[in-house]
Amino acid sequence: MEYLVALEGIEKTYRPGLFQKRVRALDGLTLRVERGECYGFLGVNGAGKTTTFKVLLGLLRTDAGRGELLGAPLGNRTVRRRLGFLPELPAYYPHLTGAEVLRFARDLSGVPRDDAADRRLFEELGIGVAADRRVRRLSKGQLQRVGLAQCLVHEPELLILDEPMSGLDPIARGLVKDRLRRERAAGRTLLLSTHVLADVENLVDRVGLLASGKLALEERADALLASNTREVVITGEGAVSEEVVADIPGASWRAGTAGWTVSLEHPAPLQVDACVRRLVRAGATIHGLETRRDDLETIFIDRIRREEQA
Amino acid sequence: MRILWALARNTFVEALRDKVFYLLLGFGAFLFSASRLLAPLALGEERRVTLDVGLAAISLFGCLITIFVGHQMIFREVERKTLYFLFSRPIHRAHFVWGKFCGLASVLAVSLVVMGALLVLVLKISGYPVDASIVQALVLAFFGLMILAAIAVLIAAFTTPVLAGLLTLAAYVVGHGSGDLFWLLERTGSPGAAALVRTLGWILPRLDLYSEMLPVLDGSGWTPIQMGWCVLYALLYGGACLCLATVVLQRREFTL
Repeated sequence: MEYLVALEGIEKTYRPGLFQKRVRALDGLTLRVERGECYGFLGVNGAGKTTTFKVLLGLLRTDAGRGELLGAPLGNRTVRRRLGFLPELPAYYPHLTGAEVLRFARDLSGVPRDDAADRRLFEELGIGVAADRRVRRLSKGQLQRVGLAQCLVHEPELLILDEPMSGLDPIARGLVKDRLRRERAAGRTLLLSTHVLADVENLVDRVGLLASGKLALEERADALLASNTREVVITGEGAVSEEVVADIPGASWRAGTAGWTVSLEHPAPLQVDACVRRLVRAGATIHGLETRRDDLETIFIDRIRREEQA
Repeated sequence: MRILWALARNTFVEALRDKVFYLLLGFGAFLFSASRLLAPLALGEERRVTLDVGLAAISLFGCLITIFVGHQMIFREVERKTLYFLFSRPIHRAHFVWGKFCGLASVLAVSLVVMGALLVLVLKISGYPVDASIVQALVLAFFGLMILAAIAVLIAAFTTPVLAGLLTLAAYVVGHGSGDLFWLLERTGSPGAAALVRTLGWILPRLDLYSEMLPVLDGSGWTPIQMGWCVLYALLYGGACLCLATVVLQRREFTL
């Protein structure tokens, strides 16, 4: 098995000043990302996600542990040619236009300039206007997508993305997600940090939770998603009364201004299907079905608590 | 080489956008005013005064441009987090240091050409002769400013913008006074002072070598050997500063 990111027992402590308290950011972090997989890297603020990325980029030295990035020891410069990195809240030179940022990125990565391809990339990400607009005049969402574009121009093998959906509206979120799916389908490896479950649904293969500087839990995403449905809400109208769903475990019926709502709490497999069939048979017209899930942090934190209690 | 060029060009364009060349307008205004005000007081030495004031102003404005561009050139990359953009790519810290230096050197080169042209224009308008020694003086001023620029990059690699600005200014002042300092120390006759002169000789920048007025004022100019030594010294001193800056940045962690 080939790992593009392999960290083992990484420790990092910040020493802010003589009289300030030391901060242990990474405490024996072990993390492996296989070639071709998409890894969701989760953790609350201050958990050490960004520190991990800085260690991978060689911006910080580790106190202990060893690691490899793209098969080379941490800090190796040449392998960064095969790496694309999007920081959280990306910042670029305000005097450059979007197109100039990509040209600069190509120059620094040692790949030929291709203005037409850059413009196509901007169009795909829904920011065609950013090509000729100075960075300082771009919105947060546009800047975020310029950031994504600059880490794709040199077609890297590994993409490290720190909160890639941050500041994006729902349409932009969809565009970026589509692009990331395509990158994954093209065989690229993705390591992305996020807080939002919807961002990583159908995208990540594995998720890992960083807590207090170490990986607290690591699990396959499909297994996790299957087990975290908190509630399914069915809305509709028609001659349906409370009795129709009374014997379904966890189901509750509520009349609304224009119809009714049936809620299923923590539904078992096939329970939603059975409930919908029964409602339709009773003469209901279904208007909508919404699945409510906990965000990944909540699930993970809940898991940690449960494990501690056990 | 492409990385170096890209970094240098970015530093140059950024300096342009920061309106650093407004300082050149200041220089032009200063030069014309000074030559008009001071030259009539010089009683037959009008050319000498215009040249003296002009070359001194070129050196001073060059120093201001170096401080203006150099004092926050590294801090700003950290502050606005553009370092992520740079260091997530195959860039060595030496690329970064030399790229920044080359960008600053380009700004100074363009500034010196403009200031030199303004000086020649003032001399021509006033009807004074212009000879090759003025070009030699400008070339030397450029290499003197290269030394200062390298010092500015070195200082910027480890300190805050305000301190970097002050230390660069201090280096300029000390560098121009170092010749007089050595002269004084040598005349004390003490072995301790001689050792101190030798030590300081290796550390302090000899910027006074690049601002000598006499050869240009009397029109004798510099010999090719004198010019060669000055250029060689600038290359060695500047190169040493930039190597040191690379080492400093190599060891530095960026918490951003």
